[in-house]
Amino acid sequence: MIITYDLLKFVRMAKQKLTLALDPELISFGKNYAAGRRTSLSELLETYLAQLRATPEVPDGDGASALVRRIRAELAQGQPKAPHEVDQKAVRLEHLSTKFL
Amino acid sequence: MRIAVDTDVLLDLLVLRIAHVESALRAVQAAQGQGVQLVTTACVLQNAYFVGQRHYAEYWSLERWLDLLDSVELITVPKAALERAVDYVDYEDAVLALSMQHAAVRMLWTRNAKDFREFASIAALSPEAYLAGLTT
Repeated sequence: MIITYDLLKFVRMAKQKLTLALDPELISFGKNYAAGRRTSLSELLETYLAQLRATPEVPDGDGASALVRRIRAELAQGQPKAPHEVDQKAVRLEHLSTKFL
Repeated sequence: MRIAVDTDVLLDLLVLRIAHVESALRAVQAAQGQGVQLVTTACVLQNAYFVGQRHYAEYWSLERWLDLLDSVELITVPKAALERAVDYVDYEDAVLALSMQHAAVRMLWTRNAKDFREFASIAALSPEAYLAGLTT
């Protein structure tokens, strides 16, 4: 029984190859990002698509909040995204130290 | 249901931080679609405004900030939270967590979930983890 179950599971989980055309820089980023997390670009994309499928659909139109609609529109228009992170606590400490000390 | 939002996730939305804005936005969209109210403290908002304006000036948008304010309700910071927070390593995180406890808010979106492990009544998780939880 166990062997039969495993076989069925294997058949269901069989992967299918897919050829994608992506920005070379994005491919490079994706491979590095995946390598850093001990996974593969394929698994990253699979996870992302699974999340898209599973997340409850909320309309981007009138049903979504103004914040969601605005950011969705900005991203669709290619609005530049901030590329870096800062240590926000260090930033505020520096500012407060300058301001009040 | 209400979910609190920490400074880092607010910044992801406010300045469209490239690695995180999409998941943060999807989490907001999913939560709001389920009738969840996002909340935070005034201090968290002030911090997000300050860091966003100062360090991400070229990505800052006043309209985005105002829309964010419309999407988030404030919880109060009781004096007891300010008093009890001195017992914790990170005063700022403790004030947020204790204010959440006071307001009976049980979930926090943050990308520094480990900083909130001391607060057993609070489920601190990233927007990505929140979205993953919706799938199970």
